Amino acid sequence: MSPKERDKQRPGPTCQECGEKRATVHVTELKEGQKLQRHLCETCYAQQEGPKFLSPGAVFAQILAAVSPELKELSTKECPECGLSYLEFRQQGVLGCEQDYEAFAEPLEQLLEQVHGESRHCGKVPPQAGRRAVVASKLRSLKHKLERAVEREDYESAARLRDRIKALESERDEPL
Amino acid sequence: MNLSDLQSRLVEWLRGGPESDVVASSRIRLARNVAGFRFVGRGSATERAEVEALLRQALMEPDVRPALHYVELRNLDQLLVELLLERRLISSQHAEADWVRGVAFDQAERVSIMVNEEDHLRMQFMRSGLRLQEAYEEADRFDDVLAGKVTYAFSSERGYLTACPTNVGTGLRAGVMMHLPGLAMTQQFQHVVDLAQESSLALRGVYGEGTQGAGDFYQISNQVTLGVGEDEIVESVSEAAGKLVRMERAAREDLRANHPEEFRGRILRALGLLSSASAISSEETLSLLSQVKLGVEMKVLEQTPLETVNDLLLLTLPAHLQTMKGRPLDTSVRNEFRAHYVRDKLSSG
Ligand SMILES: [Zn+2]
Ligand SMILES: [Zn+2]
Repeated sequence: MSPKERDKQRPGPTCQECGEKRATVHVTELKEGQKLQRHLCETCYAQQEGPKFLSPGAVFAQILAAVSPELKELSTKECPECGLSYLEFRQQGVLGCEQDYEAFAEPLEQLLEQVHGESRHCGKVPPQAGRRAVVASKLRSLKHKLERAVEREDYESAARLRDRIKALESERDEPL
Repeated sequence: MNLSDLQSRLVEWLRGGPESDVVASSRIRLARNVAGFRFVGRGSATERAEVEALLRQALMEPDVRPALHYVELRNLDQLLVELLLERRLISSQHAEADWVRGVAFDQAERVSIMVNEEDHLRMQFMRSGLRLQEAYEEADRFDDVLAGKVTYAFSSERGYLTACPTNVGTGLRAGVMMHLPGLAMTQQFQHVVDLAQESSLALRGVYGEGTQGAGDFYQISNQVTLGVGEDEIVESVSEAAGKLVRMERAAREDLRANHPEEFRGRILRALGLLSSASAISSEETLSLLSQVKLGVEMKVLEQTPLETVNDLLLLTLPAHLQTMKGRPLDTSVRNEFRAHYVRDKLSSG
């Protein structure tokens, strides 16, 4: 083994593969009967390691990563409340608890955009949620209606909607 | 209440109403979950039982109007579960689940509240004919009353939180059940499919799977539940239903004006088959009754009362037929009994 190679194997803050990112994965592998320490960043680890290092879940994550890199991280993420993983959710199509909307907020944002064309509520609000939530929902709803009125060049409705939005915004900004 | 007595009562969607020559019923469904409990699919047995008890109690309180009758489904006789399903008081998913769950419904069967379906609450509000707005007003009022008794899972950003993200936001599904035999007969069904697609509405057959519904009964409903207001959803579905009513009527007029003999022949043939069959399946009965219903509405058949046809549309369904007989029947026995029953009803009027 050349000094240069030995140097490369020294534990260090940077990834042994790309030499750029911080090494966060430290693994020991057997190579030709010798123990070998390897220090890699997440990316290089996922891209270069063979399945022998990885748990079945991680292998699946790797396959996902090949298809869509952002899915890799998500697949293993779990809801702290009900223990559902994002991967399980995508397999079953149903969430486990209300906290999942927080736990998987990012990927759900995309999914909701795909399914509904929107990701923010602008309908009814239950009394428990308070006046602020009511106003927020109403404002979003009026803004959608305004957009649509402008699209169909209905300027009369648009003007009326603008007035209502203004009134509601000043009401919102008043101290409670 | 004895559940098997339901069998002899007419259901809301066959009672007639605005545009009832084409529209059977309008239905609003709200999905809600109780805060602090996992969704039904991931809840433990204890958790499900707790939610069920909590909601059952809330639904039975005296200020809940209309007054509801609560039925626990887990230990209910299979035939009665199917009876509730045929009356559209419960969904097929609710019929098939194996955990603690129930349904509460009123005397008129216009309101039915499923407890522990996919969501803790699936509340349905039905009106005969095209009256989606009216059904929504009742749903809204009912929902307000219940919101005073239980805390819903809700977030300001995502709205009412549901087990499936396809229902999140308003949790509202507005559906109109329509009878479209004219469009089916004139090969114009593609226009219906196109219209649904343009308005981003879902279209599905009421009986059987997929879009090819037996008996030409279809339901159109919204798919988007998030980022739109309840009023907009109700309006867009009502509007599409209104268009379909006009299309269906035009198709019927076209049949009468341009193919009178063929049209008449088809309807008479359907009535003939129903009046003479010695055994008949549920599906065939539905499709023949569909044509007879059209014939009655178009005044091709003047002797057959519409009520008889509407009664038969419900009573010839398997669970209704068996409840009438008082016991489960094999398919072949059932088909004979059905044919016999239809013959009797049609000859006595
Ligand atoms: Zn690296
Ligand atoms: Zn969860």
